[in-house]
Amino acid sequence: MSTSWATQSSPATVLIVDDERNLRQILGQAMEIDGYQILEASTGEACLGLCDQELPNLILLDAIMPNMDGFTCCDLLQAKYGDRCPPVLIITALSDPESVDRAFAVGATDYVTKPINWPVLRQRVRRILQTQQSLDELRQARQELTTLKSTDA
Amino acid sequence: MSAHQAAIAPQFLESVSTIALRLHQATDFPSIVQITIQEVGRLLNSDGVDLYRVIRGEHVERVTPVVPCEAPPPETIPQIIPCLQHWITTPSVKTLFTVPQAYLLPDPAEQATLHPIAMPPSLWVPIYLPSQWPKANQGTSQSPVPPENPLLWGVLVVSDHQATRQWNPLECSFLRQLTDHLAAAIQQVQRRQFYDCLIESASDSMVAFDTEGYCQIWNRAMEQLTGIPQHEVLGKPITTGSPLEQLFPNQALMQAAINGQEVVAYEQSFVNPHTGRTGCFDARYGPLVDAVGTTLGSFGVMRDISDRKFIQQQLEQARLTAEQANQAKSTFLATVSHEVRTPLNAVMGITELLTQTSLDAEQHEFVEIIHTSSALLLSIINDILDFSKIEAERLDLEWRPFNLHRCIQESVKLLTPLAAEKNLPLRWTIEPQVPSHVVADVTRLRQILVNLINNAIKFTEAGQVEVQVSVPQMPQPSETTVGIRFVVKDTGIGISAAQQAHLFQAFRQLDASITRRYGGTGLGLAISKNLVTALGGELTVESQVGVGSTFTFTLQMPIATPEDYALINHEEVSSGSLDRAQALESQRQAINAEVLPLKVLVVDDLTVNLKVAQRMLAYLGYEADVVNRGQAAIAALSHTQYDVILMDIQMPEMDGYETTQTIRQLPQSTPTTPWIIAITAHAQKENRDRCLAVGMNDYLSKPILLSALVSGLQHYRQAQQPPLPNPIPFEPDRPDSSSPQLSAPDQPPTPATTPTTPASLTILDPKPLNDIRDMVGEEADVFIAEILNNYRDDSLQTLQNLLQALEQEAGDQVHYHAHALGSMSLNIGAIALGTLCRNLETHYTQQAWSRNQAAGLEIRQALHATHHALAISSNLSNPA
Repeated sequence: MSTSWATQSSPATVLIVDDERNLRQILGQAMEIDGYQILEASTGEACLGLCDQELPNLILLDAIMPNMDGFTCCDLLQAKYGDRCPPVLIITALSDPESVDRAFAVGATDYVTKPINWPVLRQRVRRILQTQQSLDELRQARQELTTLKSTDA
Repeated sequence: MSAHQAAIAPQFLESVSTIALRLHQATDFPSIVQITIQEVGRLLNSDGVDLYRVIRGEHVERVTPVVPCEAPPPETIPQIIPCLQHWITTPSVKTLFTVPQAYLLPDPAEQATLHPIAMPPSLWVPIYLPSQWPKANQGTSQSPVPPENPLLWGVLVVSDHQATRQWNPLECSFLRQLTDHLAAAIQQVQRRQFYDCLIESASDSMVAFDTEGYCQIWNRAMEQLTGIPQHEVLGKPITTGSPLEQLFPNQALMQAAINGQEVVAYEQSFVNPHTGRTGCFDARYGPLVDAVGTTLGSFGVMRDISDRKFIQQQLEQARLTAEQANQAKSTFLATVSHEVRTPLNAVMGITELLTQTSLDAEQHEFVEIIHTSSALLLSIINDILDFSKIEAERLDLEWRPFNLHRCIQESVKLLTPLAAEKNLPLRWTIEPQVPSHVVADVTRLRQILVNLINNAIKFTEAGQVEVQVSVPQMPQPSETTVGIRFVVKDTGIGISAAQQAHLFQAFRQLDASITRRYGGTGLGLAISKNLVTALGGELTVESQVGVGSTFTFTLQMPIATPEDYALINHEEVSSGSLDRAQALESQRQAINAEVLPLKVLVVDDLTVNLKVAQRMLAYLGYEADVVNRGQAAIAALSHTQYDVILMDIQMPEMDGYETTQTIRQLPQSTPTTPWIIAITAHAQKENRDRCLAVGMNDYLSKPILLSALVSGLQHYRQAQQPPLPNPIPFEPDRPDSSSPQLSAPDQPPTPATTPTTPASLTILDPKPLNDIRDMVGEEADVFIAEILNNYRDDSLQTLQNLLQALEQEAGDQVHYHAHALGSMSLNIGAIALGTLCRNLETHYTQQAWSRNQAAGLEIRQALHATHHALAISSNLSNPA
């Protein structure tokens, strides 16, 4: 097994957004096993509120929720945080292939279908977080380079 | 008659009335003496006027003051008494008034005796008082009392030191008249002194005020009571700030007295300013009226009742102390009984479970003995508890309909083994007129009957015990109420008339040796008597020593209406008396973890109680969690979703009520989730009401018996499951006949685009749960159980929402709830249910509402099938 976040200095935070408490609980359990810190929200609105306070490293977002659904929520997150927006993993129903397209359209990083294949989910989360970490490192490096460059000039 | 005498003659006659007036006006004795000496000396031109007083007829005492220049006459002259003897013994002398006889004492010896005191020639005049003057005083309106036996008060001695002098008849006459007045004046002063004395000597305090409010009487007792000396108040008015004002703050009382009313003021408190003593007095005030009816003022008599009051207070205190002690005793009894009951409940509960284990015949017998003995002990303790409650007047009666015949039969049946042991026939007869269903406190009635029958058996060695229940002839029979007479008759040792007097007293058996011989607390009859009284009857006894006793009571009971019958039948479910082992088995068949899978939490501070509850639940197939504090229960709820909580009431720190209130405030809690069942020590109405008031759903009384537990869980099931019009057929007696659809399907279900019947789909695909189980690892069972509990609750709730939305034809809501239910169902592998939901979610817009609603009912059926399958599945994976 590759290095998990749990072995690193600060574990990654995963925000789980689902109106169904059982799924939240199972998702939470799955994330906890891999050593992530868990945040939970039962609505899209609550998700936005939590992000206002502190951006998580990853958002697991259910597509279908009352009021604000996952697509709208994802759209708003992208609009609000742009580059800084954490990766969003949208959870869609297997029976609803259109929603996959919608998910990517609103800027989701990836998707999983229900019923959830747990090993697949965990692998995807791990991979997204690793990619994100690399991306962050890249951004930071570029930032440093830019700073150096401007300092030189 | 000399010239001088002739000159003064008219003077004498005029003077008598003037002197008499002065004498009568004199208020004290010295003034009288003074006036007499002065006037007599002046009128008779005499230089020696003396008054001698005869003291008790024994000696003579001079009362006139000594004039300085003269030779003092002796103060006492006892030796002259013989000379005066004839005046004392023959008072009629006065009427014969003969001065010469006095002057010329017949006996020379007497003259010689007199000589030392009566040196100059003297005129001796006796002064007589009516001997019974108080009596004379009373006879004002009657004829004067004849001076039959006048008392020689003293002697007036007139002498002339200058010359030998003859006393002429005029002078004698003057003196005779004067001494009459003198006697009257003395008498008046004496009388006044007597009255003063009377007032002063009175043990009651007396006070009098004139009409102006000036104090006129203030006796010694008053001084003692108030600490205010006479001179400070006498003749003074009640003015603001005066000591009098403090004592008589209520001027209205005095005024009322002056106005002629009799006023009584009880228990006036006072403080003696000198001694600081506090106390209180009763006071009576009345008008002070003279002989002709004129009001002179007010008169008050006060009696110091401080001592009496003090004793009263002490008595009251003693009474209170005694009552408190009695109360403390009752409380102590109640507490001790309660404390004893708790471990005993555990003994009985565990014993009950023990009979269910494999035991050989001997062990089984032992267990039975333990059980019987604990039951007996419990009944004794309940007796004590009842008694203390009766004494503390805390007995609660519960009037409800019940089957009277059954109650009687059960009471008799209960004691039949006891009678059989002594070879006593125990017979019972119920007259056909006795209605079968009545309203009363069945528990108490049974208690009375059992007590009386038990007593009868206890004290009967041969013969029989008989219970007769009849309806006595009533002068005015009622349609709604019936009088029922209960008679318990034995052929026992009997009770003598003297013993009958003490029969119903607590802790009293007829002979101390009886307690040793027959056992028992001696409370049975006292309790029965009190219970009968509480139920509105009277327990009486007829008995003859050596022949037997008959206890009788009659109770008025309302006849139960047909509507009440349903209640009765409900009650009887749990009160049937079967063979215990059989009963337990039938209980287990009624409710168990397979039929009704539940997550149960038991909250009790006593480990032994937790164990009992846990074992009983285990017997039914439940693996209950246990915690011993209210706080721990709340903490447990934060990570586990419990269906049912058995909650003890009495716990340290946070009791059952408070814990329940806190639980009901938790966000995940609803009024019925978790279902909280109170475990109460006393099944009193107020306790139950309070349980429900704080948010509990049901209550069980200690000791927790399996039957009660099962019935409690049945209540839960009835409350939880909405009635189904077409419930899915289900065989509770073959719970292990697992559904053939339960196993994993050979092919994964394909999403259907057209409505699919649940029969063609797998109800429960174990794969999703197994996946979760694989993922979670060692804690998987707990986690899965929790997930499934959540699912049961949420799916039921969502189903309700969905059905409601369908009924209301609310499209958005149908979409959302169908999605939610489908989603959660698919997560746990409920394929059929999930698929039906997905179908509805996808197609509801294209279908008629009637079709959608039919789909809703299909979903409901599938949901119940799913729940059933989950129950079986969890039972298979967690064998009890």
